Amino acid sequence: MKAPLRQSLIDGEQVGLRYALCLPNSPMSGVRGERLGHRAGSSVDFQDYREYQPGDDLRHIDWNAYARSNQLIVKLHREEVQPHLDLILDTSASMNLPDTDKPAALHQLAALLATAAANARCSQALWMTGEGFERVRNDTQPPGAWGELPMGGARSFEEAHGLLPPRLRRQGMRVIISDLLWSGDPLPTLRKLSEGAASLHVIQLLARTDATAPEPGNMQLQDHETGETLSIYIDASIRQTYRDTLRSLQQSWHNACKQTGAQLTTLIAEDLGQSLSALEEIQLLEPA
Amino acid sequence: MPTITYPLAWLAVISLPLLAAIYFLRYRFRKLPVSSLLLWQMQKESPEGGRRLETPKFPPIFFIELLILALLVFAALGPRWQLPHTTRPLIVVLDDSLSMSAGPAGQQPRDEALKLLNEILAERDFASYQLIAAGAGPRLLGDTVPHPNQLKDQISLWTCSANAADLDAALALARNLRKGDADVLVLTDHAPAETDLPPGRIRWEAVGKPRVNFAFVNAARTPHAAGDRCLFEVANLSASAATNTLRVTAGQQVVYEKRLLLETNRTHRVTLPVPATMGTLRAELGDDALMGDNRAALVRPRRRLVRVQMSVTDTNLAQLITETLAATGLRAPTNQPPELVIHQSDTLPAGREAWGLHFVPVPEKAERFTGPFVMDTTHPLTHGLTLPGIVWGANATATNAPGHLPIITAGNVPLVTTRSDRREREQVTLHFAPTQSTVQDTPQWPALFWNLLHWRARAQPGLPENNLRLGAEVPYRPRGKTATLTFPDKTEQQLDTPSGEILLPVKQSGVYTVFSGAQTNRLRESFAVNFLAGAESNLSAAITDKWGAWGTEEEVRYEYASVLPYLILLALAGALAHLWMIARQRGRT
Repeated sequence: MKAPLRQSLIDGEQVGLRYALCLPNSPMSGVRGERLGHRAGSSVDFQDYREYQPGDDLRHIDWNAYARSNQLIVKLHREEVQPHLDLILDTSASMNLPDTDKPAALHQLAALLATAAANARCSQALWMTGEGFERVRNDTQPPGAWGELPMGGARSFEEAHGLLPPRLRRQGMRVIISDLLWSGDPLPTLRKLSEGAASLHVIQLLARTDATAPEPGNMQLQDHETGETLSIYIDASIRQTYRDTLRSLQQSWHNACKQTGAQLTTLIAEDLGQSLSALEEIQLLEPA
Repeated sequence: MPTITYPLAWLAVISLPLLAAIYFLRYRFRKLPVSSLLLWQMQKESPEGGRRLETPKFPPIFFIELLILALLVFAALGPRWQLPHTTRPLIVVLDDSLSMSAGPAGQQPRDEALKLLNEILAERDFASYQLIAAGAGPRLLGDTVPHPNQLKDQISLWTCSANAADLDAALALARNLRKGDADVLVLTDHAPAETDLPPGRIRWEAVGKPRVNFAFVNAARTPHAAGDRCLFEVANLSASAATNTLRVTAGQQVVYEKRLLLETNRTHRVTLPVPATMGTLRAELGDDALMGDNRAALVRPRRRLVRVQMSVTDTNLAQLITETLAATGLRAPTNQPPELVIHQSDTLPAGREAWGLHFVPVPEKAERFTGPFVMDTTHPLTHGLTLPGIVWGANATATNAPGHLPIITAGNVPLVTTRSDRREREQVTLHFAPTQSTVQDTPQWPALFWNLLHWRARAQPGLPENNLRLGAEVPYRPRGKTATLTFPDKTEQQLDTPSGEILLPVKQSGVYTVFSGAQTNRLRESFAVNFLAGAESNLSAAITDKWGAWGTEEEVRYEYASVLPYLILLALAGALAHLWMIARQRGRT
């Protein structure tokens, strides 16, 4: 990993120490941990009674109730789970736009969220796009120990998801960080990602040049992901059309998120430091 | 077209490409990587921008700035427009001589002159246009035309083949045509004879260049008893010494060939005795700047003999005349029918074609005249005669008969007179006393008879000479009322000859054929016309320069009006439009 990106991870980790992941109210599942789950478990919190069935732990039989009713009744307790965060990163070429803070912001934001998750006693998994989705090496470790996040993949987020979707943990939190700049209806992809999730947050990370159209003049635009070029004379009307198109794209994502219960927020890579409050507003982060 | 006052201001034109370069650098396609072209796939293209472009599109203010700059550059040139009421007629005097076609094609003075003429015609307007070709004499190439485009047909008649260019005569004609109010342009290849041009608005443009040129300056073929003597004279008419090859052929036979090395303006003469039966001799030089003077031809000359009938009763005189006639070599062996009758009677000789030489009887005591003799030197009979020092005996009381033209007189005493009768026969009267004279003992005597026979021979049907210079008149006496002339390019022309003698229309060098008369009595002759004009072939004095002008600077200023204020106004209007565009653009952004 390049030194600036590694530094971004460390910076994100530093910032993340001030935050904790805001866990959803919906029941969560996971490995044995410190949070109450929605299933029966071995915590001290009583949940329910039921009849004994062969195989039940004899230690959970309520002998007092047996004495009163001559029936074998098992006392159920809430399980204690450790919440899980699946951080799904778009590492395609569009997120590695040169002369922008987009890749650094991606690293910083991922480190921040992973650190906040750790503060919330959450386990974590980092998924990145490539030829399908794959785990980042050492993603369970603190961000400083993560393996490299290779930027510049040729596959878009949607294509990578179509090839090999991430194996997301059920009832876990899921956060997608992407610029969301791909064609097609976002709803199908979002439905799959939200399926079985305790919560789904979509963070649209844009460079400032993505959010605002270039200055007027003759431009040869080059798609950083596909290499396709477009020579165009940009004037005020074209800039307005660009802004309208971006707004329309964001609206389509907003609608898709609404249908799948996901939360959408847009961050500008160059203004990441000032944009963290937006993550608190959508109840993704809270002060630690 | 406007005239330019400050040509150096053309340097300011460089600002136009500079401005274009600045805009190009500013508005060229800058490469900009974007995350995705997704947001640029506009469904509706903007009317002003957004179209896919192959070349950079410049904003409208660029064109306004370009226009303003162009106007300012034009204003800096100080353009002045010719006022319509000041235009004058233009008369162009074109040197029609052969030297205007010297040099390789495309670089000949004629080409340069045409280029210059077109520039002048594009530069300013004239009220009308007239072309005069200055050859051996001036000739109008067509009518006056109101527009220069109509000159094309006339220019095609400018052939540059004449053996001389009488520019003075052409200038005189130009002055007469418009009574001096026209602008006269002379296009030639040499300087004017005098640096002070004739009065009037004359602009003399010489567009020639000195070039290496060899030329035939003389060619003659003279019949002699045994054969003919041919003379070719070649001159190096270049500014420096040069070499060339002279080759003389008769059919396939090479008669003479030599490599010549001649200093400037030096000549080389070749005299070739050839049999009288030898046909046309053709001489040629190697290629040089002027090709038209590199060839000469000499056809076989017709031997013109005169049938003479002697009717002189004085035996001594008859013997003297007979010997004299024999000495001229122009007497035909036969005398039937006579063409010249030498007699002593007062009656006119019989014979339709018979001229007469009448020896007037002189008394015993004749006067001995020693001069001074008065002679009509323009008459054919006196060609080459010099009478001082001789004694001419004649009747002192003799007077000139009515109708006789005195040719040689001693004071008021006619010695030789002539008269044309009704049939155009010449009757020569000679007052001559052999016993009192010494003229018959001098060369003047056979010369006088040679002149007489030669004069008579020239009056015979046919051509007087068979080898001529281009530009010389070619008189022809046909047999009958028509003649047919065949040109060197084998084209033929029928000529009507109502008056007996005509001038053949010879405009180019080469070998011609002319015939006339009935089939049974046809007279057929060939004659050669050679370009033998040393002055015209001399390219050492060719020059490129100009003399004279169409008025002084002050006169020209009055003929033109400045358009500077209009240009400045237009530039200001452009500047206002520029300001408005910028303000509008700021308002939009």
